[in-house]
Amino acid sequence: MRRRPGVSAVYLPVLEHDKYTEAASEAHQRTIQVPARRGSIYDANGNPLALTVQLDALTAIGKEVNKPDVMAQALSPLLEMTPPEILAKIDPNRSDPVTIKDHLTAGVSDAIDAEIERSQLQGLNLEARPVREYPEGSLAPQVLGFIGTDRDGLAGLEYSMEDELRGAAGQIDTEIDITRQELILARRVVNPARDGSDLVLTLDRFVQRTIERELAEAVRANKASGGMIMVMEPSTGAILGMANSPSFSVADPMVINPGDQAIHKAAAVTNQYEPGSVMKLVTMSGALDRGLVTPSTVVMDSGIISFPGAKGKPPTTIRNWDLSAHGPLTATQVLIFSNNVGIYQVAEKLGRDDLYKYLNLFGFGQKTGVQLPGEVPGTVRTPEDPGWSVVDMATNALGQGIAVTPLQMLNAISTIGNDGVMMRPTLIREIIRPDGVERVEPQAVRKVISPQAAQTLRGMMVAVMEQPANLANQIPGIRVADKTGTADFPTDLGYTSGKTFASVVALIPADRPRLAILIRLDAPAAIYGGTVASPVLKRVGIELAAYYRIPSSADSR
Amino acid sequence: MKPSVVGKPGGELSSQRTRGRFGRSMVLLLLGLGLVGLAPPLYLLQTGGALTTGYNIQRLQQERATWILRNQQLEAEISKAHSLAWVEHEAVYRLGMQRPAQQTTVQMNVPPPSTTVARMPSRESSMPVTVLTPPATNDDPSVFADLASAVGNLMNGP
Repeated sequence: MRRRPGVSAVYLPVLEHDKYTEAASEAHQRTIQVPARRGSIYDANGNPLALTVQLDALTAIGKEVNKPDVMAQALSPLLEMTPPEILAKIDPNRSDPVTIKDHLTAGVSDAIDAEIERSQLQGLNLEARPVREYPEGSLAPQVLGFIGTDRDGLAGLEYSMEDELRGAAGQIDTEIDITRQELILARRVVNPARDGSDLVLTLDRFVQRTIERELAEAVRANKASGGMIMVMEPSTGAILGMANSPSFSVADPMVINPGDQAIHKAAAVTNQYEPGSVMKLVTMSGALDRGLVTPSTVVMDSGIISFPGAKGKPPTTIRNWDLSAHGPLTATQVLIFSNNVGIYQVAEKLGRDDLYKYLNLFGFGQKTGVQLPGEVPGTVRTPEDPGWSVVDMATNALGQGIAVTPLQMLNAISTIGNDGVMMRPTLIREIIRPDGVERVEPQAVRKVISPQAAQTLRGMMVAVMEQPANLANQIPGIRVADKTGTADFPTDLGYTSGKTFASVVALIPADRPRLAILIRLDAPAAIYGGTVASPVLKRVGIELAAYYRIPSSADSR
Repeated sequence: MKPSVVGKPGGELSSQRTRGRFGRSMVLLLLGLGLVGLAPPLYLLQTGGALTTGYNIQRLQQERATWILRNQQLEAEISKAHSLAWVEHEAVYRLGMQRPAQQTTVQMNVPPPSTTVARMPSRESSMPVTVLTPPATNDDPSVFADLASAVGNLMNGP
């Protein structure tokens, strides 16, 4: 509609004032988002495990490339690509940039820039792109996790600590001139970017690398389907290493396959298993703490326990793993022989209520609160649950019919190593924020057993380790408290024969433990923990004792 | 007595005053015009200078950002060169080192370090190191002491 000039003179500046003011502003005002730097992740000694750096990518606009053959020949050695490979990426009909190669190091980028200048190459551009770099290679991938193409954390600490790592993007308001160039004097910072916090982990790269190497070798040598090694510091709950197999590489660009989710998870907290005879330590510790047994208390091993079946069903029997009957055994010998009948008698002395009280105190059936995502509490069926029977009590006392996470088991052993005080497991030592450093202090959860009971139990565990059969697995010069476990794989129809979780837990050194270690191999060819896991413990123990300068035990053999 | 009014001399004075006022006004006007005339070029000069400074700042900021970027890239490369993976790769593939087939443990009959020294190190750099100072003894005199003694004996004769 045409308006008369007089009407327009009033209409436009007065009645349509806001509209045209906004249009004018939009024409020359611009808002620039300033991306925040994603926080880095360091190991306990300050070695970077994950960094975000801007690495150059070489792109080419096919239509603008003036000397393709010269360019391919000149850049071939720098890009470590053959000239035909380079030429294959350049389409002379395309007017949008195509990436020839990314992740270029500073030196290569400089050399390419110089070559472009020297040979007067057109249509090429070096473009900085943010890249998550892993200087140590793929170390602790399930712990660190990874980020997606949108730079958000998708797994591990990258996911669970996303709020800390991500930071907050900033905003700059500015104006542009008629050539669409920014008027720098008009630049106004509305919100400065806040960089993400850096995380200092409790993981030690040497420990992590050692256990990853030993785990890979153990899985290969024992033809196992997988496994796990974890190392914790009992006095602080700091996790020094956490290795899992099968694994994946965070250092390689990858496409997420839903079928691979199982190996992306931190299985130490997301997967539960039946621990087997390792659980006998928990049963024994409760009885020691209550003063119901001493190392020399004698129980009678008849070789079999029989529970009457309900409503015409056949009776349930529990036998020793080697189907033997030893007769009278001391409490220490119950652990040495990993005697099922003996430990049930210890559990009977402890009583139903106290057995589950100690299982609860040791943290089974509860999340540990570690900073990893997807933690499960495990499965403990208590007398209050429907369908519970005394058979459950017997099997729970020897580590079957109860499901725990590997971290729960390690934390329980660590509690025995810390004179009965449970610490909260942690993976993070410090959070370095732009405005200060937050130190994650060791946190005591509760007192589980008395120091005397813990020390007595460690002495009994040393007796287990120092049996002649274990001579080959001892760490020279250092007394180790350990206990092996072999648990059958549970299935819908009961327990399979031939497939086991073979594990060992240990405290090094036994007198004043500085390291708590859990080693588990899944479905090894030789099924017993003492056969397959104990040799791994020896190799790991020797390396870590030397690294941490653990002094020789004064009265070691 | 009433003073007589003299017309001419008074008129000249007034005329002179008027001319003087006019002259000053003209000067002020010219000055004003001059200032007004100078204002645009001065403004342009000032704006141009500010813009040039602004673009210089922008260029320097870009340079700074580039150097920060390059510094981060180099730090990442240094970190890679310090990584255990790289050290192991160099040791195995370049230097041909192998893991020992047999390890020997030597047990020293010395008291263990004190509790404070034996604590778990928090950082490699601050890892406690026990420095054992050997006790000062005179049981094993040095070669120089032996020589000095022999020379002394020669000088003094038998």
